[in-house]
Amino acid sequence: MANENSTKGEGEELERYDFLIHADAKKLFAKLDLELRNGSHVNFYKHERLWKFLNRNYESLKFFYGDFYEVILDMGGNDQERYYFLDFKESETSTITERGNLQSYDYLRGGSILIGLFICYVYFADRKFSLNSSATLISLLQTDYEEYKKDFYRLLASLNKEESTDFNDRKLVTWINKALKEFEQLGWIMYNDNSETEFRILPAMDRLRIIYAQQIDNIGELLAKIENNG
Amino acid sequence: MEIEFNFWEAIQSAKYSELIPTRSDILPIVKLYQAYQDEIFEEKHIIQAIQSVNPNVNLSTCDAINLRLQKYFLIRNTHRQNYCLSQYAKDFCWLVQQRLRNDFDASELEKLIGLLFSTLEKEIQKEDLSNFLSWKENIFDKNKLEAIRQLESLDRKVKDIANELSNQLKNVNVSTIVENIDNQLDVVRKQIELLNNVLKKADNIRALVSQLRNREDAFNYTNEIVQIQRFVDKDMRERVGNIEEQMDKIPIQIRYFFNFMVRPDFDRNTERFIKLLLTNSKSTNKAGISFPDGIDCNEIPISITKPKFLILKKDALVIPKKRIKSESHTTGEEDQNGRIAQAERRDLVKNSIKLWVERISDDLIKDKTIHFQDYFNEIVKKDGIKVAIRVSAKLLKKYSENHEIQIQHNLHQYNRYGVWQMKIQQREKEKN
Repeated sequence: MANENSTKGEGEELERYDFLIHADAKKLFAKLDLELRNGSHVNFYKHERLWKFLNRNYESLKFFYGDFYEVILDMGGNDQERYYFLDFKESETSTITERGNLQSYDYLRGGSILIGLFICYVYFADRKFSLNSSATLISLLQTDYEEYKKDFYRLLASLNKEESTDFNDRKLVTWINKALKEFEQLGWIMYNDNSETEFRILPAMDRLRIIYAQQIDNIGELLAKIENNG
Repeated sequence: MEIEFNFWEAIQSAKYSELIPTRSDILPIVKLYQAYQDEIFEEKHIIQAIQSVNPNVNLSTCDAINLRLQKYFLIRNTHRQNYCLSQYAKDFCWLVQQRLRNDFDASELEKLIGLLFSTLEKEIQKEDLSNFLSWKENIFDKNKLEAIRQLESLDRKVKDIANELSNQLKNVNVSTIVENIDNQLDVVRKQIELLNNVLKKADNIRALVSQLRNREDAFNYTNEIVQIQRFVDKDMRERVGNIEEQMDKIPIQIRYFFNFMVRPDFDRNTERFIKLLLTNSKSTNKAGISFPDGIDCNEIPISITKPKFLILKKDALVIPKKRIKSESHTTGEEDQNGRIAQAERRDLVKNSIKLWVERISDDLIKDKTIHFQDYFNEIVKKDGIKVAIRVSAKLLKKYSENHEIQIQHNLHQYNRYGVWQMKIQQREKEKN
């Protein structure tokens, strides 16, 4: 526990972590903790009960994660579209690795980030709400977003040509499906009941754009820099 | 008996590279085709053609290329010491030339299809079909190639416009782009309009040959009829369909461009950011993709393994000789549900034992004596043998000190179990 708390009285301590005496804490906290530390974005649509518990106890849980793990319990979105997550990146203390058990973490791969940004763009910016499976994503790439197709094939299927083959299509689908599994774990999408292919894009998915907001806002400078270096 | 020609085997047994030469061998032939075609030429012209492709080639290499080409592409007249191109060389160059020409003209295509229709009509109106095969080979087959080439040329033209639009949209000068693309599209639109007439004529050809199916003397020409029908369906209709599909995409591209222009900055910049990442990222073997310098790939941590807990079994601690077994459990929902169900079953058994012991104890207080085998049968029936055994053990433990317990070692048979009879009674002083 942080030193500043050591002078606090017992009552104040309890107040600081009063989520512990919430009626649902015994049932829900362990699961919530696991979801958050797995990198998941807790949201209403996928984790209704956990979300309600977190929503009610946000301030005290924020103290808990700050004091014990030195990570920030952050949130994004509004009202029912609000989502909660642990922001590991913003926490720059040396103890995070040890306390947050970061050694068992990996990072979302570059290919998944690209696919994720493309999904954000198609869904949130272009409002293509029909996007609900890897098949519709491929189909959109081949029709409305053809100019992206070549680069996706080049990067994900190592193909440098305009034309493609079934073999390369399969490679691309494999990449997309792997990325979708990771997005599901992150709480960015959820698969529909009884379906392994159809999913729903959750508001938390747009956090990917927020993570890169600085680069997106300064795209002009970034392009100029790359041009100069190239 | 005629042996069927197997193209696959033939091309492997023949010297493939002599039929389909390398770039340095075939380009001199193209040069000679352009200059002489059917005329004769001398060896110095061959050397000049070879050296125009690669000026560093010495005479002995030129000689080696010349000898290779004489197999299929060049014919040497040894008496007159001159050369001409072989028919294979001329056909080869003609085909390549046709593929490279980009001069689609719908009116030319219309004339061509019109010619096919009128000549076919004449053939069909004749009483016998003796010249049909000759029409198919000499008129249809030759003109078919030209029709296909023209459509391929239009297809390329539309694709070029789409690519040009895509490139121009990157340089944001709206009015010039739209004007330029619109002019180009106008040309193609007119061609497409004319193509509809062409297709109608092509359909007429199809209808004519379909009529042939009813004629007995056309029986031998089934293959030819199918080829003509396929030409109309696949080579004409399908290709035109593809071209129209390409055409339809161009206005979509323009619409997206305008949407792009009026969209909030963040959305617009997202698109530019994705394009930047797509065009400047590199594919690497292990990590998959590396982003350009200055853009961090490691931004979003994701847990790769679920935490494992080491659980020690409680009973393992009271049997010291036995090695303590540990079980690791993942925290999957299925495991958790399984453990909950197991715990619930355990509680149920515990509860039953407690109730039976209480009931028997009450009866013992009331009646001073109980015969356990009566209860045993009932417990087995309701809660199973395990509960019955554990109840008997509990009773033994509870009453062994203060009560009198009589056990008769003759087995009382109950179903497939043999049970000793056990009587528990209060001691005299207890009774009082």
